[in-house]
Amino acid sequence: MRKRSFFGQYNFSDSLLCKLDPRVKIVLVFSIVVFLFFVKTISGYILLLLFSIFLILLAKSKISDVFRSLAPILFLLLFTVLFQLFFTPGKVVYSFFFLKVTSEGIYLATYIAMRLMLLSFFTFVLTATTSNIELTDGFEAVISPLKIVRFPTEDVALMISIAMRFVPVLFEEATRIMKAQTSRGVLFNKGSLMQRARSFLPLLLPLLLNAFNRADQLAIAMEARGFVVGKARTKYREMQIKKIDLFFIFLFILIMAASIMVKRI
Amino acid sequence: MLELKNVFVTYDPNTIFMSNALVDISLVIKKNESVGIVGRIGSGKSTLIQLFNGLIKPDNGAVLLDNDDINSKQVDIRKVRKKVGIVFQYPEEQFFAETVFAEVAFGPKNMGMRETELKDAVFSALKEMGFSSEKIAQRSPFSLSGGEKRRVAIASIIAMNPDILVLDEPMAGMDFNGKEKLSKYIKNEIKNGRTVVFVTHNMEELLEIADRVIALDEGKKVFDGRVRDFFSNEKLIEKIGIDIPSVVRMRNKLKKYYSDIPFCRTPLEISSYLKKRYRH
Repeated sequence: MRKRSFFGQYNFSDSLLCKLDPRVKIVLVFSIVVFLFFVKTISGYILLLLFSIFLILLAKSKISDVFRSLAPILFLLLFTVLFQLFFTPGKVVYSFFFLKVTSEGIYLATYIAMRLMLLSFFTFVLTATTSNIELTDGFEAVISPLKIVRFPTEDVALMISIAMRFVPVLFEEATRIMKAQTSRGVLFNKGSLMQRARSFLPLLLPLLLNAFNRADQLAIAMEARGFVVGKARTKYREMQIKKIDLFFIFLFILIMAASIMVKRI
Repeated sequence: MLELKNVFVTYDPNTIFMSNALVDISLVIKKNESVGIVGRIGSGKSTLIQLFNGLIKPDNGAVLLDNDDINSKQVDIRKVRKKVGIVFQYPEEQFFAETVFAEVAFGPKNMGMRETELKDAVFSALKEMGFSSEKIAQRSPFSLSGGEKRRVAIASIIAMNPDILVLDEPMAGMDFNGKEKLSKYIKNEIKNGRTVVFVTHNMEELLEIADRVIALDEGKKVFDGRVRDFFSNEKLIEKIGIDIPSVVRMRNKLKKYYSDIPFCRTPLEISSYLKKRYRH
């Protein structure tokens, strides 16, 4: 099996960011991502870009991995940038047949590109420095106030962690079934769109069936180890806010405040 | 005839995960041979068989089927996959059709077989795998027993009428009865002139079915020859971590006292040798 490193995949290191409390990381990254859409100046974005690069360096990630994390949104990025560039009404700077580039268009396109890029950079830092278990534990803690309205936060967190755990398993199985069906004469990447769609049935059906079987087995295995639905569970890792967490909260607030207050160029 | 010429396969080149899955493998599989491929987990067995029908392309070297390079653009890869039928591990996990008939017919249909021939191909494949009644064809493949499922899965490859049948651990996870039956039908395939290549961890199986052994260790071919020569090479067997079957061990012990004892595949052969000897 060819190993693949997924974008933003957790890689353990002795980085400072790995030691941060996952709750703090989730809240900070979430708030800075929301905040991105309120920044109104280029200099503000440059400041945030520098900050994200600082975080990436601190996370000890490879720059090539970071750019690979852009790949899934590349199409979206290009599409929105081009769309904004050519179809924003305003002062025409350059025209090319029926396409008109306006100064407002350039302005908006840059903003959109910056926002999407920064969005993926910050989330990359989060997923690259936080293990799946930490992520779900943190997520569970973050949504725990919803318990007041009887929202099953633990169950949701468990569901997410199981789903994440089985992504590589399903991926591996999909490759296996794909190879088997290829041996039976299926060509997955040839033919008309209709033919291609049809050729995925012999892949998806067994995949789904096996997933259901596995879910059954998992449920039995969990019950055998004493898992009861709805019962409170004790935690192996206790999360604690340390000084370093407070420092990063302060740093994030500082950066956010600075990026909104820098003067318009 | 299938030929591998100096094949190299490297996984994840230029990364820290880089590993040499296969190193300089050359081999020829002739018509009507029965070849067992053995080796530890991770020794490159699965990679090797995936080369046979172009699922994996070699990084270096060539795979030739009847003297044509299967990875060249002129060769229709579907024809290669029709000639070299691979049955993967736990093949029953790929079932998706509503009936056994549709499941078995899937392969030949993809290969462009016409409706008129299709029916014959499906039923003769099912027959070869030991389903004599035609009733089985209308059942759901999911309702079958474990052994039946495995045999239907193998029939779905045989229905394409491949020249070379490649099986990746055909007996894995089966009960004694299922193994017995399956090994009988596989032996029949060999008898009827089909080339059979199979991967196995079970030496008794190897002894029973194969004439020739290819042993892999860390991606290198360490043995290629007759089964009897393989089992007499105890140093090699120890090196690649394989259990010698009790029949062979017994025969090797007996050899000290009876120097003319032939190579025996079953306990029956040993007892008949002894019987013959003591009659005189």
